[in-house]
Amino acid sequence: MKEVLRLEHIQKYYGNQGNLTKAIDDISFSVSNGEFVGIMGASGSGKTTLLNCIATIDTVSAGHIYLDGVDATEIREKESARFRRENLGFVFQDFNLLDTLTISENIALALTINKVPAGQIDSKVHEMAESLNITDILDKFPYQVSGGQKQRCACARAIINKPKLILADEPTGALDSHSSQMLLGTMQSINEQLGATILMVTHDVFSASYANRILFLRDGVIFTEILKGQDSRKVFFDKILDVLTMIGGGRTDVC
Amino acid sequence: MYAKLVLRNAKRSAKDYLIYVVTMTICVMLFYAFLSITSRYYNPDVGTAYEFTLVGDGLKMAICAVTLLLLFLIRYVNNYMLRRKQKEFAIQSVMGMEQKIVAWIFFTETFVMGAVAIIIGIVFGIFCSQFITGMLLSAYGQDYKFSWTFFPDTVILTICFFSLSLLGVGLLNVRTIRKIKIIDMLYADKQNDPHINRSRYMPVIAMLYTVFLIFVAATGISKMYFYADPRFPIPVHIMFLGNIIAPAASFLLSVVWYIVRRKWSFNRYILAASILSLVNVGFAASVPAIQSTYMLASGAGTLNSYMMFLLVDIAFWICCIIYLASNLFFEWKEKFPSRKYRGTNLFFFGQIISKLNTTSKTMTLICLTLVLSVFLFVAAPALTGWASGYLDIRSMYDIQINTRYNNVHDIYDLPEDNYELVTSYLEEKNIAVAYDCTFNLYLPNQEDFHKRVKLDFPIVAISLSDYNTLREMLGYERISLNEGEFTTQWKTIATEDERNEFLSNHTVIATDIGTLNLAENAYNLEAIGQTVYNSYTDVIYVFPDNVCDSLLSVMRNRYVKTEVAISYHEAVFLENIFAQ
Repeated sequence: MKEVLRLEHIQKYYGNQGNLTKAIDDISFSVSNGEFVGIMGASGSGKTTLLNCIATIDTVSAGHIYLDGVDATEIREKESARFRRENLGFVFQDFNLLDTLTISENIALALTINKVPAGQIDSKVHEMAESLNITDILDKFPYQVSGGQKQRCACARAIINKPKLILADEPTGALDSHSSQMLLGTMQSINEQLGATILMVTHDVFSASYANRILFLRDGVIFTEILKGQDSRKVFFDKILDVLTMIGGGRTDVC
Repeated sequence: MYAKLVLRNAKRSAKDYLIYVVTMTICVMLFYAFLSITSRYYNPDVGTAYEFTLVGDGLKMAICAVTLLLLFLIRYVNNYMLRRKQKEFAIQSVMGMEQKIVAWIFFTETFVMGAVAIIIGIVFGIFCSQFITGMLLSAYGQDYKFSWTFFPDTVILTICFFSLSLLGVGLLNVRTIRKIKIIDMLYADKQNDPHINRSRYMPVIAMLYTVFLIFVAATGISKMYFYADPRFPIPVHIMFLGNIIAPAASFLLSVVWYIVRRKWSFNRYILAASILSLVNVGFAASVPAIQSTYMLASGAGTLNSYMMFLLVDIAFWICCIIYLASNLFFEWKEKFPSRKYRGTNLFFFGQIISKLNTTSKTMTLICLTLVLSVFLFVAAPALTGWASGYLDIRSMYDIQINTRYNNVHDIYDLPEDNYELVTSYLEEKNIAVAYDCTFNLYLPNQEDFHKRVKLDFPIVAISLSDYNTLREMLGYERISLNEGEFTTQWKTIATEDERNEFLSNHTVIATDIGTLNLAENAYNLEAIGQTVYNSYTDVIYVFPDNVCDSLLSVMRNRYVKTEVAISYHEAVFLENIFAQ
């Protein structure tokens, strides 16, 4: 399968000589087109930092990030905005919708930024809303809808431009279990039916079980990686738990 | 879509920052209202005798200077909005919007809010100016009449002034937003307020004050060099020396701190500088007191200079105190732990110290503005009372011409003009005259002609008939004198003690043609104008006419009262004829 994302020896440090923090310490991996990859790890393992670096929101201290063959670390500041809107979609934990725009306008903004002709915007928004089952809330403002609906709107905003890679940072973090399940089902169907490539950061095992492949981070490095393959979601869920138990045990011999 | 974003954001921001929009509107309103009376189109009916030119020009500058303080308000609120909206900027940037577009959207949003405030402010300003017109007409003794104050020049000036202010601040914001990293904007809401130590405003103020001290010390040295005298009493010497040593010491403190700044913290330097600035305040304040007590000659503008030094020293002291306030508060809190842990004091103190640290610039500005306002509020009634009283005493006639002989070397060079050009002018302009008095002032003793020492100028005399003419012009009763008698006429500012002392020492005076005795009616206190008196004197003699006929005339005045008030322009024209 075609490689969409490739990371080569990524490192990210914070602080100065006297007080250095290694958020990411030499990570390399790749993501193929159509994969649904989950990144798991404890707090402080570097997963959000990794996602921010891939999204070009933050800069790496060393290494390269190739998105569809283009080195994102070498892009100039002026080009980075264009790079993001053409290639990436982002879903945040706390939705981050613009409060002054309606749901449909929030989705449409992504098209406007990408300079889609005005005549095509409404139809694209409606089409996306139908696929995510948020047609009835298009005229409402974010404060008028539930968390799950907001997150689906955020998903719609993220994928409407058909980006090469969708980055999701704890997308179910602020949702109840029912909404989480609905959202994850939506993301799974986006991945399977629309062929979207998704990189999702999560610490929730249930959310991770929807992915095809999980990378486990610990102290800024990839500890291990597991593939779903032909396993059911329940079996994959148990595999994830086992790995987490192993990560959590470690030196204290819990397992 | 961007326009929709801008308008919706502006609408929401207006609700969130209502207090800012209302304040801006009120400021525009007051700016417009006061500025409208300086417009060349503004022409209320205040009578022909007055004109607004001087008021207008001065008022224009004062209004603009005071309103410049608004820039701080605009910048402060813009910075606050910027901090609050950073997450929103981050989302827009992550979605792929260029940071410059994000910045321009914010600029447009704040500009739209400001523009609405300007328009509403101008509309309210037109109404507010009616109150000001009412006050003005009342001041000039006229009844209130509605005057339309929608003037193109005022509108343009108001719009330009505020638009430029908003533009300036907006462009700074654009620059700021373009420089912030997206990752920093994304997590801005999780950061604490910036710490004061990163702020450069206090070092800049300290540097400017240090430069200012050079000027103060130089002024002190100059005053001492030209005006000091060993015969002065000790307080005068202390004043002269203090106004050199105090600023020099403050300057030296700054230099020494700069050299040893690695060992001595900036806060300690500011503490020492604030104490020395109080010393400077004391010495600057002593100048008017010493000057009036010992009647010192210290050059024109000395008082104004030292009042300015006083204000700058006080302003610097306020800046220091607010800058150090959080440290002082912190130390006080640590010294009294029982107070610190009582009730919710811990939270309360934490909030105060945090705000003192992060908003000290704003608080300093507010404090300085309040101090200035209180100062003006207290001074204004005194100044206006002084000015109006002064006007009543000085401008008692419609036309007054007077001479001084201070620069005349020989008695043969004394002027003998009757000022006929005034008569011609009044006839030409058909201005009817009610009273017209040209009169001389005489020296009782001709030998006093060259007596020109300040505080020892000779007292001049007026003839009884001329004096009675002046009294009649001003509505007072005439007086009479017996043969060989004289009386006195006093300035309104002369004290009773001065008068009594003088009269007790001058019951008999010797003139060139004989002695005169003080009349039973020894003194007259009604105001007859300031220019009948000789330089540095508060009294004139009133002599019988026959005595004055034989005395040396040294001053020649002419006072005219017209049937109707002369218009401002005619008065200015007449003044210019004299200047030629």
